[in-house]
Amino acid sequence: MAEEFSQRMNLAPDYSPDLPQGDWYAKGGWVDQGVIQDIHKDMAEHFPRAPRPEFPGIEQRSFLGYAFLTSKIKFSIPYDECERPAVFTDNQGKTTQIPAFGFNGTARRYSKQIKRLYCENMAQNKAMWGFFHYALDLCADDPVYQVVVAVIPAKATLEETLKYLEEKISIPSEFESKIDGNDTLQAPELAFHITHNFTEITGHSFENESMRKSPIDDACLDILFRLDRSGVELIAQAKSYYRCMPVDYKFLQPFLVYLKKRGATRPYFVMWVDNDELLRK
Amino acid sequence: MLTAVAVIAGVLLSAGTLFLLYWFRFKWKRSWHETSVLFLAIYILVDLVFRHYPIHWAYNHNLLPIVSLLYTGIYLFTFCSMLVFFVRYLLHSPIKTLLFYGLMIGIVFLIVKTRPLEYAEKMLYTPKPLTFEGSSENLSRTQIVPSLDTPIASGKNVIWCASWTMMWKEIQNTLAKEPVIV
Repeated sequence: MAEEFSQRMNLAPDYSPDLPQGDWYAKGGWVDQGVIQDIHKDMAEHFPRAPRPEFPGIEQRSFLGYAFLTSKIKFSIPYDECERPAVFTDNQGKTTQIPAFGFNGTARRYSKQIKRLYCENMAQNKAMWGFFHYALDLCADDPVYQVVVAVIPAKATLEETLKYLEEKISIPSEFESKIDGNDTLQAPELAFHITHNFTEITGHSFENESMRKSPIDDACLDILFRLDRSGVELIAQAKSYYRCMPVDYKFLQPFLVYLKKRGATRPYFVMWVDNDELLRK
Repeated sequence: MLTAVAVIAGVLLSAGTLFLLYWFRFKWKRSWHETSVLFLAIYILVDLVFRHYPIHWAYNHNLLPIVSLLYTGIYLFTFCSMLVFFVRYLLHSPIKTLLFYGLMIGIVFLIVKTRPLEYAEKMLYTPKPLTFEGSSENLSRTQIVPSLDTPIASGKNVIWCASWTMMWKEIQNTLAKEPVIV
């Protein structure tokens, strides 16, 4: 398991070119050579508001790998809070009432802020209206960041799911990229702080000679993520044109959300929301 | 302190506008009726054209509460000014003049009641508490994956973040200087 884990990580691409400049920091080194002091100094210089990194119980002869990533994306116009609770339906058909944000009747206000990346009528009879797959950029007016939410089928891995969506986005759509005045949006709020320990490798050792056969005692990932009505930015042009029916963009079923530097090929945060465990209820 | 500054700024701005209009009345020898109509027309025009811009600007510069107060100051002062006109004519004028100013007060009140203040209030944002805080061990239906190509379990939320990969690459490139073997 540990071997498979390290193979996957070794083959993973280097994401640094795809990250917004100044939003991240990574450092590796040996504690006895002063890596902790270097990290504290660099973090205080580049991210003065971030909490000082702590490494409790670290050995003096230990290696240390550290990475920090931060992105604050603000919608230029915050979305409305939906007046009534929305109903999220997970893959098993279980429903949960949740607060949501979006718009209903005020789409034109967001016409420069929101962009339709993909929309496809999935009904067998195309004359039927209502069964759609779609992806929206919630901050299309932001020159640096992109926040994408998508209702699409889940694949075996996040990579395949992203690839599927990219292919769909690249195909010219029958729909314009800007939303219509009658369209509605409902998206759930996410706000969590998770600490995850990769147990696949903890307790194992690095076998490389240059790594001094060091054991891995702590392999921890800490994620604080918040998506709400104020959390993304988007520009869309207000254009009024005829459409037979509006589309209701409801992210009230399993959906994908990812953050990406605009123009980058790969995202730097991806989440598949399949159930209500992390939704605000 | 900020509240006081914003309210004073609002009052000064409104007073400046009124001064210009009084100046207009005497300089061009217009009647109070004409001056008031011009006052109201400019007011409505500015409100219609620029209604959302100051609020959006203030929101993006974290100054929304101050700008909201500024609006409050302007609206209050405008409303009070119109009320003064009304009382002034209440004492000396025929019914037609009273109706005229009464109507104008109504229009200003309508703008105050329905326009940007409510919109600004909507935009004011306070983050809500976290829905979950703690170890992933307490999450039974959420999976955190180290790489995008990790197979995902059906029926689970899945989270991936590039920071783990970056840390791994840092170890790979600066310490191991070859693919890491665990």
